[in-house]
Amino acid sequence: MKLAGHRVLAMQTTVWAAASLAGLAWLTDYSSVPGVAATSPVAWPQRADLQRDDRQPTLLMFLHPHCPCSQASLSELARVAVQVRERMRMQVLFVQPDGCAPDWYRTSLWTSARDIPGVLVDVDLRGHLAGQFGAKTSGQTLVYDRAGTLVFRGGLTPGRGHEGDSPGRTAVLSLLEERTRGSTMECSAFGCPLLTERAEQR
Amino acid sequence: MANATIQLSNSTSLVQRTRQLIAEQQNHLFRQTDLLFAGLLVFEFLAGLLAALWVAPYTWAGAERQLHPHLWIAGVLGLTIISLPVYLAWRYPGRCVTRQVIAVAQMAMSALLIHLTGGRIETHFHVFGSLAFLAFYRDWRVLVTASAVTAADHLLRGIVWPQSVYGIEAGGSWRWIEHAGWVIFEDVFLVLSCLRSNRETQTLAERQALLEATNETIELQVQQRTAELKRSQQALESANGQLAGVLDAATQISIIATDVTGTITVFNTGAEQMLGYAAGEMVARHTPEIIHLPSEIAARSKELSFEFARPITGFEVLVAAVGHRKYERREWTFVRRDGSQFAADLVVTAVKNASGEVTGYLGVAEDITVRKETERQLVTARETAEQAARAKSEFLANMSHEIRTPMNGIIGMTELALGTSLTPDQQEYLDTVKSSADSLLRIINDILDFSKIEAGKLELDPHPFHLRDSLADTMRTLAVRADEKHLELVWHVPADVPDGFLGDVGRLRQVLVNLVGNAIKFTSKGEVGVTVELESRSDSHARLHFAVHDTGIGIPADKQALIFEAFSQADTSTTRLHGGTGLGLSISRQIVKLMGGEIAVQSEPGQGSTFYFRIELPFAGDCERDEVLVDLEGVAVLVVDDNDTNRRILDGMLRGWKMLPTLAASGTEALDAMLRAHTEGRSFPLVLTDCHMPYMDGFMFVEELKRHPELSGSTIMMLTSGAPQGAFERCHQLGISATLLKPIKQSELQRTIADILGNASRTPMTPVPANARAIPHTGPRLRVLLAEDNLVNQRIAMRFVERLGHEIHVVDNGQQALDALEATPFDVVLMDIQMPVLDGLKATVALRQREQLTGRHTPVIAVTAHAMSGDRDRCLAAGMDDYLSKPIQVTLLATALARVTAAQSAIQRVEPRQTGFALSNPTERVCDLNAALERVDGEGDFLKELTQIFLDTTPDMLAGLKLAVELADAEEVYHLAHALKGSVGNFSAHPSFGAALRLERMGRQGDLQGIEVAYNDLLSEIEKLCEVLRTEVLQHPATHRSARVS
Repeated sequence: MKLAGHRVLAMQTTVWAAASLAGLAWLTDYSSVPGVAATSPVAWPQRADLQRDDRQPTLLMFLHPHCPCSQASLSELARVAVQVRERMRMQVLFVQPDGCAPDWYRTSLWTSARDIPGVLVDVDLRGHLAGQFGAKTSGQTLVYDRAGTLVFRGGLTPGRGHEGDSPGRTAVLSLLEERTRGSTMECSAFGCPLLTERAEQR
Repeated sequence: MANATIQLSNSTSLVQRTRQLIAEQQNHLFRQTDLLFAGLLVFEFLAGLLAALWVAPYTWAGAERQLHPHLWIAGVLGLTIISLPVYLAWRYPGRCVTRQVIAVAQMAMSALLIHLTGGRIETHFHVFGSLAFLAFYRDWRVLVTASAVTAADHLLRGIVWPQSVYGIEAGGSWRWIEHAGWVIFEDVFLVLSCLRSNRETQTLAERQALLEATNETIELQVQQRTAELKRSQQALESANGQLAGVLDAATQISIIATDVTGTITVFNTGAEQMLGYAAGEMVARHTPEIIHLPSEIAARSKELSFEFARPITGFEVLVAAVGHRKYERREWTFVRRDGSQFAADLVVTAVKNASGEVTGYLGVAEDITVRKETERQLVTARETAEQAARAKSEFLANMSHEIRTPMNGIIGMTELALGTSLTPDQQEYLDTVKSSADSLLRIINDILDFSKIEAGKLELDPHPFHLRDSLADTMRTLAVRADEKHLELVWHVPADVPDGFLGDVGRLRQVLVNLVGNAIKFTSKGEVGVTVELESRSDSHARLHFAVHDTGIGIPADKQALIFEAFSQADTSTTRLHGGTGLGLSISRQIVKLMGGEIAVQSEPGQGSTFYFRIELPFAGDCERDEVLVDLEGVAVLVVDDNDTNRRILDGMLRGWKMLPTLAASGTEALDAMLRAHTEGRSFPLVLTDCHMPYMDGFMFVEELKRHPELSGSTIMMLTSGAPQGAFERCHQLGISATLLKPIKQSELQRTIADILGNASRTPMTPVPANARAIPHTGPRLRVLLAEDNLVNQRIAMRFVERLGHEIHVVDNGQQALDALEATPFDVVLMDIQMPVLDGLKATVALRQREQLTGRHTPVIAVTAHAMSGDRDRCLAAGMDDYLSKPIQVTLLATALARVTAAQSAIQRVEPRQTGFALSNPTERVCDLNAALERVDGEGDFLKELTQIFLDTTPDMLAGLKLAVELADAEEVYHLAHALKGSVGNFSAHPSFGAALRLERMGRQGDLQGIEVAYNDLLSEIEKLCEVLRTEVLQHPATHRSARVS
């Protein structure tokens, strides 16, 4: 291989390395960009079509039935559920936008959620409840204490589709020890938008 | 040194080859692994794409969906990551950069996978798996690069987003070290594995290189062996071809080969022809017994069974004996296909392979019918020959007795007659009779000896004898002949030679007489001497070296071997000149051979000859001799002899007796010595003087001595080689005490000296009769008719016939001879063969036919040159009675006349007359006038007459010959050349004779090619001859004899 060949190869290698790094960087960036933050009410909405348990905190997780990243959220929820056991009411709400097929929500996520012990799974038709609780992104989790005060708002995963240690999970588990009472803990949630802006407006 | 160089070279090439193999192996491994990873990366890319498509094909917003960014990531980023390594693996497989990029890409794929799985710990196995895969390269640097990429990824992402690599947030800043540690942990083993693998690769490469070198060597050897094998095969094929050719070509030899069981494998052409079977019907047929006579097979079977102590039958009968010998050769009776039988000589050999195992048998047979018949005829011939030889021996014995008896009578009575009172003529006649009888007896003895030798019946009769006395006796018998030719005859036996031996002295004397006689015969001046020397001795034997030397004509080298053959002489002309049977040397050689020696000769023409032989003789223990008791010690002797050899001999003898000899070469020198001695107060009690000395002979010396009274006290002995007339009278007158005939017998000299010194008187020797000379003997007068066309020959024949006392009538050709015979009866006809009008053969045939009517028989003697082989047979076949070859010799003519006319009285020995005519010529290159003169009985005038005739007639003959040559008339050439040949032959002109003979042959054979050259040669030689004849014969007034013309 001649010198020119070396130079070309070196250039190709450099470009290749740069492109690969750039791609990885973009992926990392994409994976770490959270969804739209929730605008949940601090107190349990009075007109909420969802009942709250006064004896224990209530955890609500809104999921898009087809969000690929939300499997990680369910996995994290499952881990939390193991630790929470009977000390927190946990309910997963699959948001089904208007106009979808009746069983549109019955996805692998639905099944996974149903398989988590102690978790209630339900459908939020047309995102009614998501609208009431200000949930915008799949995986957004809200925890209200027994008094109906919002104590946590955010996701349970550290990134899109990423399981593992995350501030959200740590925060939820800490609520059981009631060490952070008095303020609402917030963190980012990673997932698909639950509804389009147009649907939200409706 | 060469081997060391080769080994070094081999070692270097092995290292190089090992490196090359390693490089090839690595390159192959790198390429394979590059391709493997290219495939793996593509697979990972596709798998990632499918996984993305399956897990998260879309990203959602409510009910709306879009392609998931992960799908794009899997497609675009994955493709980006694998693009370069796959390209390099395709474009530059095996390169270092390729595998390094692959390592980076593979680890990037691991990083991507880990990232996409959110740092699931299980996906980290992809890292370990990738490293393990990368270890396929067996290049630790690849592992280092991959590990570095992984460590960097963990480090960076641990800092930026630890959950993406570890799954948890904790330990983001340090956990990379743990992960990297595990990677390094694996790397350690992988690197060790790579190194070990590389070592194994090197080992394998070394073995491969060695194997290849070995294979190469083996291949080379195989090629060499193959080439050798090929050559061997070619040689074998060639040999087989030759063998096949030989087998086919051997048409006179039967060659049959069989395997060990007797099945015929080869049946050659010779066998086909000999036995009548075709090869096709015999090959593969079992056992060749069918060609043998069953009775012979049965008989041989019995013999072999007895010999080997077991039954031997069938084919084994033919080959059983071969195992014990290299081959077996026997005569068999073979049976042809048609049943006929013939004798064959069969040789059977075993055919063995390389390991010596017998694989078959080969029978080679020869039809010996002819040989057997020849052997039978030979046996018959031998028996016949033996019978003839016995008859011959008996005949010879009878003849010996029958001839010797009358010869004894002749010799005895002649000697008695010589003792009576005779007239001078009677004395001469009887001397001649005695001499002739002696000669005849010698010839008879020679022939009888030769016959005995031929029959192997010559035996030695050993008796004790004294060498010196016997030698002296022998030499004495020859002394007269030597003296007649004025030759010194000397002999010498040194003192260290023993004297008493046991041997056949008679035969030894016969050899010496022959050798010395020949030496005298062929020596005209100088000396003839015999020496006997001791070569070696043991307690019982002595080996003696006899040498007979002369200063004669010598023998050419090419004739030296010939002279020992029977009936041969170096120059046939010498037979005429000197006579002899030609048997002497042959007999001598056989006698010496019988004594255990061998005769040889050293000679140079003109320088003389030396014949010598060595024989071993046993000492004679009882050989006593009469010892001389007189003490001669210290007696001074003066020896006077002009011959140096004689002086030395006498000196040796005298010193042997411790006498004090003084040698003088002449009478003058002797007188000086005696006077000088007298002056010094000494004297010579004894003087031995030779008789024949130049200037002052022995008598003159003694007379001179008598003039000196002061020297008169010496006793004088005279030594002489002969007995001149009146010698003894003079001896008495001069007071010579004793006369001894040389060669001197040592014992006799010793006794004589002892006698005369003791005042004893010595009786002088008995006078030897003067040399007798034969003269013509008168007998019945014959009427001789000579038919001869050549004038010279006519004159010679006329002269000879007239000298023999006969009447002669001459005619020119055969027809005239017939006419003359018709007119007048003749007692005998001398008929030339080549004559004009009617040649001798035809004339004789006609005569014999005519005589059938008359009943009488006229003897006809052919007279012609004997150059043409078969002449004699042709003459006898034509009816002639005898044959004379030209040039005619008078003795032979007389013999022939006597033979054919039964006129025994005509047998005479005619010695050359001393007519005083002589010719002096140094060599015989042109002609031998001496022989010519002898041929005409020494008559110079007659020779002149012949010469004149020759000179007159030859030009016409040459002119005629020239014309015949020019006309290519072969017959005329033949006749004229023949006539010329006869003419020149009378002058012993051998060159001219030879040239004429060539022309004669050409004419006779009709082959005239080169005739001009031959004619010119003849012309040249005859011109020389004519010149010589004119100057040496016609113009020569000389009166003394000489020899030959150059």
